[in-house]
Amino acid sequence: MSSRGQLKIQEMAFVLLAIMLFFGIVALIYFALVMNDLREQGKIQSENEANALVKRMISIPEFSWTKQCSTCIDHDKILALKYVELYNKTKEEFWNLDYLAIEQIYPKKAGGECMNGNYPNCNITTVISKKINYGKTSFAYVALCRWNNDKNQNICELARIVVSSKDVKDE
Amino acid sequence: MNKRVLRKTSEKRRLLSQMNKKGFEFGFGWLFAIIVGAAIIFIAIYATVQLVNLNKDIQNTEAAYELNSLLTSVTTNLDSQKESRIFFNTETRMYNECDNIGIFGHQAVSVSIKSGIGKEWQDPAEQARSYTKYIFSSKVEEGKELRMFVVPFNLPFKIADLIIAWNENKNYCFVDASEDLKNDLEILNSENFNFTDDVEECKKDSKKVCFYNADGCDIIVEENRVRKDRKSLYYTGNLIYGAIFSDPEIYECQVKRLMKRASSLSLLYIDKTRMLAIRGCSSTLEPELTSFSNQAMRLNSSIELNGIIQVAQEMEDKNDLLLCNLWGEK
Repeated sequence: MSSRGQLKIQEMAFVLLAIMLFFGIVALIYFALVMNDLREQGKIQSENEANALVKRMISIPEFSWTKQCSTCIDHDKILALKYVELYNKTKEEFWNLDYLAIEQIYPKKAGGECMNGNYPNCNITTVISKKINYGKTSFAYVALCRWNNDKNQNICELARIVVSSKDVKDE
Repeated sequence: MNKRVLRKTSEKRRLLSQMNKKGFEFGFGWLFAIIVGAAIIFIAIYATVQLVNLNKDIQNTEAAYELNSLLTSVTTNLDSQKESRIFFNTETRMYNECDNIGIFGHQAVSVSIKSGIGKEWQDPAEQARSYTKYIFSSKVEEGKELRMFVVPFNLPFKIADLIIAWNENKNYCFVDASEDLKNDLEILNSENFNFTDDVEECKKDSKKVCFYNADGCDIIVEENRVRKDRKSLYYTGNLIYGAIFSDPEIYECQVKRLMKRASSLSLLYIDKTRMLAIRGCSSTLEPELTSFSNQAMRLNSSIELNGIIQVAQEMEDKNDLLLCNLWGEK
């Protein structure tokens, strides 16, 4: 084969390589954009889910108080959620949330985190707290109810359910 | 003679050499170009097909997650019985999958959107999973609309909301339906439901749900069981809707999941009864709750519901007598 022919083949090989590289780079940019868009979509979906869930919490049987009160939740059951092993094992998958807590608003109380020892003299019951910095939170105001033995009746206090959706993984 | 032969031979050589000069030279360059060109065209076609499929997968996955999110809202809004509708832009298939493995089992929803390019129905993409939803429908619902209503399921305390779903093309004809069921379904004002006293009056394409045994019925409802597809699905309370509207496999799986949830909830009530006892309001419900939890966790088939119903009734009676009810309110 002549040296001119060899040169032509080399030229062709380089052109082909350049075309492949060009399309490779274009594909990489396209997939990066698609992935970014997907991540955003996932985040929005996750937040929508959390928004829907926080409104739905009061009808979830683990939280619900009675049929008669549609905005009431049961503080005793919520505290029990922290200690029942079946829920503890699967809580993040079960609720599909990174953060779930009930904060008491009125009447104001001290006492911090609710536990078996200080209940009901406490003001926050954290069911899930997967990490320190969780993202955007959604909340809904509710009536937090329990049996009061001194008054021999059920009492309800103003509280709010705070949730944060699961983070979209970068896997 | 020899001279003539030689002349002819030289003439032939001349002609051949002329032909060779006009001929096509198929060298290495051409071969290389054809092979590489074919490879590039093949890669381009393959990449395009893959890209189209990937886009379909993305679209289907997004639709599944959106549907899952909408179903979460539906549960909230539909506690009071109303028909709810989810509209799709094009013909869509919703795949309802139930898995009862694990502590609570899970509900998976996946979607496939009808496509004009390539395969009409692609395999469903990523599933949207949920541990707290219970969808009673056929395994595949196909159409432009998904219609549904939500009913609570109590045994004796609330265990979950049941989502009963069907597509716009499915019609149900209820023959001689019980008053309770008729009242519940008439409130929905669904155009897919028809109530009659005679199976002959049902539309041909409708599913005939009979409350007595008659010829031509697709589904027969009895006191504690629903017979369909040659299978008996046992029910209590609002599970009757699940048994009528869902495939038998989905129904049995969802009942197992519901009982696992009931078992876990009864553990919560055991903790609650202990807390109340410390605060001075004790109940004697712990043994029943423990027995209920164990029985519910072990349930293998809806036929075993009967035993659980009895314990649930005992618990309900005891709870009604309590000063501080564990569930419900005086």
